Amino acid sequence: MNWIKKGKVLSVALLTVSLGACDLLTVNDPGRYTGPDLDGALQAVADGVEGRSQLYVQYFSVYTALMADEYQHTGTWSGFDAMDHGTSLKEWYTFFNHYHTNGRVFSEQSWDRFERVLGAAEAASSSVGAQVKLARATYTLLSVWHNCESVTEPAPSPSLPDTEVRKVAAQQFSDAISVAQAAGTPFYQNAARAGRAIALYQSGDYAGAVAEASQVPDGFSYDQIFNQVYRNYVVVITTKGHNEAAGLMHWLWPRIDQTEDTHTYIRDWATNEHDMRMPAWFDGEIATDNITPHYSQYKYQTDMDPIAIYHSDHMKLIDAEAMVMNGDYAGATAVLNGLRAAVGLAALDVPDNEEMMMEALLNERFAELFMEGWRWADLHRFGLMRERFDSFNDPERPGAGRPTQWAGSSSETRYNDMVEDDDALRCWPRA
Amino acid sequence: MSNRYCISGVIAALVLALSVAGATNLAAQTGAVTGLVTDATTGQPLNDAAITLVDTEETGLTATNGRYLLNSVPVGVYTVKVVILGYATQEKEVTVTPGSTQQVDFQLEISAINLDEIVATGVAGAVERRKVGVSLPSVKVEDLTETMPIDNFSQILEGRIPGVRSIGTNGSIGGGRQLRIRGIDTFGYTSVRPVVYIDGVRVDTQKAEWGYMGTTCCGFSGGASEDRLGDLNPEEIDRIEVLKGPAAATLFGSEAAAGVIQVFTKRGRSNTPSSFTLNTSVGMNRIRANLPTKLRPNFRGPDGFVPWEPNETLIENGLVNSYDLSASGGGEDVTYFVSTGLSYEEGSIKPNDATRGNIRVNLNWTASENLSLGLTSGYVRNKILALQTGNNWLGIYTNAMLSNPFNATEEEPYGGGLDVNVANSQAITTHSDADRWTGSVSLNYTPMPNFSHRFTFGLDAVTDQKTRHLPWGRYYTYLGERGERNIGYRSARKFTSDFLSSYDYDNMFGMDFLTGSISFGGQGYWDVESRSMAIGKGYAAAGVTTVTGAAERLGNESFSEEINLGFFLQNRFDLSDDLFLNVAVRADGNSAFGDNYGFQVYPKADVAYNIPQSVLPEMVSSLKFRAAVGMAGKAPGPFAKFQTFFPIVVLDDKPGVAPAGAGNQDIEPENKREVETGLDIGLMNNRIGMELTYYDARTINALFYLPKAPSTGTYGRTENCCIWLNRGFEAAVTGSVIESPSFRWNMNLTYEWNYNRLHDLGEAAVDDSVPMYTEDPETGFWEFSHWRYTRQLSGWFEGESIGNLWSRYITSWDPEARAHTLTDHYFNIGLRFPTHMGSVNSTFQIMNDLVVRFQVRGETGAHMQNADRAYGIRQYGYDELLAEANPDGTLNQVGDSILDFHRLVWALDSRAHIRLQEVSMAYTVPESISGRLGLQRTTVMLSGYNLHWWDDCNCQDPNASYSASDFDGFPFLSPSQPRKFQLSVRTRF
Repeated sequence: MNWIKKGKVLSVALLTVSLGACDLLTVNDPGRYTGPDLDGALQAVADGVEGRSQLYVQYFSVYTALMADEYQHTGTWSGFDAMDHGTSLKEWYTFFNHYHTNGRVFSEQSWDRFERVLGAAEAASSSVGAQVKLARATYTLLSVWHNCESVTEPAPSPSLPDTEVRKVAAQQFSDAISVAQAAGTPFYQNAARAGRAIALYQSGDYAGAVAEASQVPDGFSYDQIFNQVYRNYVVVITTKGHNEAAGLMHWLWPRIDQTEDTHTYIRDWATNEHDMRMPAWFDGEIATDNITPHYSQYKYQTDMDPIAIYHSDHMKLIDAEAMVMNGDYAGATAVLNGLRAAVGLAALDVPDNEEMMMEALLNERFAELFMEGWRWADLHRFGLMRERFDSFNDPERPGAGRPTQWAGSSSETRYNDMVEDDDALRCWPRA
Repeated sequence: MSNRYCISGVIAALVLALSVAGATNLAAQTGAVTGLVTDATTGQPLNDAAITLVDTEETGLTATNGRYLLNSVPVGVYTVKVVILGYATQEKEVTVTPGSTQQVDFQLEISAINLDEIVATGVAGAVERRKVGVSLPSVKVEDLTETMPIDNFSQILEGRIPGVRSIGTNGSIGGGRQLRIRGIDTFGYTSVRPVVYIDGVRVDTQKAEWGYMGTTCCGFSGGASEDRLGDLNPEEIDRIEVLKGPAAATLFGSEAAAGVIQVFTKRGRSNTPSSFTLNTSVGMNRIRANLPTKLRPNFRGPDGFVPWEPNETLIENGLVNSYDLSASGGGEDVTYFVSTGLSYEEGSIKPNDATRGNIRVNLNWTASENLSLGLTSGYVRNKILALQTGNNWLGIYTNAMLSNPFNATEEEPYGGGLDVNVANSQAITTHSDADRWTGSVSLNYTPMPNFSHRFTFGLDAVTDQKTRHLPWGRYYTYLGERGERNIGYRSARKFTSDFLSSYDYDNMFGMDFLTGSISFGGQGYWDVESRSMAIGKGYAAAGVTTVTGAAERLGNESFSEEINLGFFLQNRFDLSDDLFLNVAVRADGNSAFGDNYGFQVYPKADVAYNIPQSVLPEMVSSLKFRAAVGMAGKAPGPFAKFQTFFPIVVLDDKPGVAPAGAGNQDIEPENKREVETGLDIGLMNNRIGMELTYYDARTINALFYLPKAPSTGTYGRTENCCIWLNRGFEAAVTGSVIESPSFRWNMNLTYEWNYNRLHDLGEAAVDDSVPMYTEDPETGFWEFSHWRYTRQLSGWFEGESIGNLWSRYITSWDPEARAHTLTDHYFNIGLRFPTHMGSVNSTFQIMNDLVVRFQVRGETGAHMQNADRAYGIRQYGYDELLAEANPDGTLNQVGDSILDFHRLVWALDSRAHIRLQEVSMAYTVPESISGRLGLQRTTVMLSGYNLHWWDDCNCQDPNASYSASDFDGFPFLSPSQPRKFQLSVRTRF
């Protein structure tokens, strides 16, 4: 065959390829699902929604500890340093807020998917529905822990003060309770009840909170669960034997023994006994910043240890706080002493006055909810931030001007016309 | 959308069919032309001069002895033309008679500018430089390797072409280097690294570190990952041509916005006996001992231990050794170039080394008078023992530098670092083992002397197996003492196919001005890349090092695919002997374009006017005006158009899903329009040549990841939004300063100015303002001045440069409170990219035997936020703070101020510097000696690379970058590129 013929053959081949390969520019991403794929994977959708809502918790265990008086920065990261010194960068937080809001909206979109695929009635009595409703309410509750201005619905939507958003969260927990009841999933029902109790007491409805808390069984705990991919951030980032980017704050140091071989406990605020609710470890090691002794939390010892989100002991603290608010110091002390007795601590005397009662309540909450992310919210709720930090007499961490809540997402304020883009309004209430 | 592509394919097929239909055969009686080409001043033979018989297809190249031979030349009268870079073109008449061999010798005068040089202008064929309306710089690699060892592809381009930034950025042997052209004018959602072709085949230029998912820290090596351009062996390269921007690179379509680099490997010469070239080098790497830790031994650890000083204990000599052997030659119809090379290079901080072996076979077969076939095949095995470095808890340098001497003990002799012992860091083994094959088949079919076709099919296949092992029993942050094994596998395949037809026409329809060349063709590429990882953590004891043997095992996998089809049409009008107009258009379809978008059309036009010599002043030997306008693009990310959900592991190892990309089916390529004008001037009989170029580019439809309000349920999506302006001026002056038979001094000066600005943020932007501050030159403190009103989009502001550094900065120092205060706002504190760059390349030739050359380059305008300095001070590790420290570790008041300052901000430091980049001395052994050994030209070279730099950066190296990013990067915990000293011998036989 001469070259001319070969060229003609090649021409025909090219023509054939051109006609036959009209979808030549079509590619697919085997690493991602498409929307239609998910209609047949509702359990994975529900697990994704719930799992992501849990992943949010670990960051705030660390970040709120730095903003409050649990942690101080002991590493090299400027973002941690800023939070520790009360000069928190809203940019640092924005990513996580974005992540949170995105997950919240995904939970709503997933509910819509369930209703479309299963029908409204079946969705409202499904365990996947219960998961998604619980996650949705949890997102809302978590948002008001930390944002001074929050958005409750997809844009455009009005922003609300945190107390109002907590009421929205309480309603969403009610929805979750209904679906979980209909689905026959007591686990999610209890978790939703616990969440609703928290939403109510933090919005000032102690009666409602106590009523809901009383239905959460003893020993119940709804936890952030870790797995082969997602590890406990508190451990990985701040704990002895791992990175030591943050450690327990210096005011706690005198209450922690130095021990080489095993961990110890922070001593009780009232009796100086070891308080087993607050495991810690200090062996004299200098932290990553090469300067600061590293006093490590040790409540979470391995990177698979779960973090409790809602649990029955927290419900008891709600009871105690409600009693304090009603002036029933004896009742409140009894509840607190019950929690102390469970870890072998001596009982407290009934305080004589409100100041002592509040001191007892806050210290017991500090111990019982140690490294669970509630401390900063407590300092904010009771207006104690400035006083607390001034008491340390620490020039690097003055109480004046220390923020008590996170900024809302910059992206939200920037791109949601319903949210006012004004730092003074949307974030950073000062102590 | 896809039907549109069918039509184009059909058209291409029909064109091809018509083309082959016109084929004819020719035959005639023949003779031969031979001769010798030498330097008119020194008499030295000139290698690689291009010999052509004007208006015929007869071409050849001179051999190393300056001789050439053109066989089978049909009888007749011809003009023999010789063209070589750096010399003036000459032509001579010759009459070929049947069976005769005509001798035509040339003595060429040196010339700094040569508009007759043939350049490959892109996909549409080669043409003389005088007919091209754009700047098309090229580097003849052998001109460099003859007088100094070149170990790295990037080094070829370093400091030689204005507008091309190709620099070493870190001390990791095998690590990435920075490569970009004409600054930056994109948000960074497309690569700023130019696309690279080797013999017409698009190749992988991967550099960024990968493998982060699931590893204990920082991917594999944590810093500058292996640069796949480092796979190339400079000894295989004949020349490199650079198409700097869209005005020149339009015909490369949806990938050429950042420029195109074309690499041409060596070929054999027809009718030339086999010639062998052997090159051997030996030398050493050594990092400059300028680490700011020299005061550490003045202090003591808690037990009285004297801290180790990294300048003395970390920096070592690293062996450099290479061997290259090549053979080339050819007969009447077949030519060949075969080469093999082996190089070994050791880093100055250990463990770190690279071993590279290359094999290349290039064949050309002239099957008939109108048909030739070219085959290229290059294989490389590149094994790198990577340095743990950079922004990396496991880094050797990192932990040695961020140590506190007051904590130094026998177990932690540097003082602790980031909680990982330096010896433990050094116990980590991190390997990259890459196999790569790049090859092509090209078919040139010329049915008529003025009508030619070229088909090229090529593949670049890279397989990189990476491993990292953190041994059991040693402590590592995040991991403890459990031990860890990481395995990564990356497979990248790039298929390229090209078709080009060119038809030269002359006086069409009897009209003089209808003379020129029309070209048309198509180009397609298919990129497929997959990555997989396996991670094992937790071993029972030392001894087992497989992932399978670990208690915890993880795996992950990723994939990308992109397909592009483009068609182009180009016509060059030879309006006169001096005036040339070139117009072209390319249309691209790409799998990454949104389904609602379709084709992208890229037009271009350029004009070249060579002022007739008769009207030029005597001093001006040649003058060409050139102007061009063109457009090229960058495709979006391969899957950016899809709305997707990614799989995640949730709860107790359950499969879940989460929202991923929002998708954008309207997405378009990021396009760049460029206007380029310039002058090519020859002065004093072309002893001095100047190339002056001004460019003004606009990136339109810039790809931008636009965040959305989180409450919309998406993070955002990639959109086309904005316009960047990018302007610059480039100058290259080449000249023979002194010219005599015994001494020649050639000099090449380059200068570049570059400036960019965010011009228009599009409809989504909102009104905003940026604070303006002024600096008190005496105190260095900043004071608020006023607000500048502008528009803003997701943190970007109109009117700002992409290189602006935004920070809060210092307003005052209160000695009583021992505290600095910060500005209320973030503001633009400086520019991160250099605005002025230049280089001086000088070559001295002494008595024909000795060549001395050096390169000095410099840059100014760039600044950095010196995080390295801040971290070192905050960790009590750097001399700046230690100079103010008392023996017990307390600080005096100055020390307090320094520490407070660097806790609050990363200091603004200048990256301006001047660098002695290359020095070499090459001595050619007299033939009376080398000949006795049976050798031809033999050269002994002594060279130094990256020898010294003068700066005011408060850093080790102002060019350092821990990530070696092409886009950005700053010297954060990255050792500087080492100095390199080599002794080389190069001989032919």
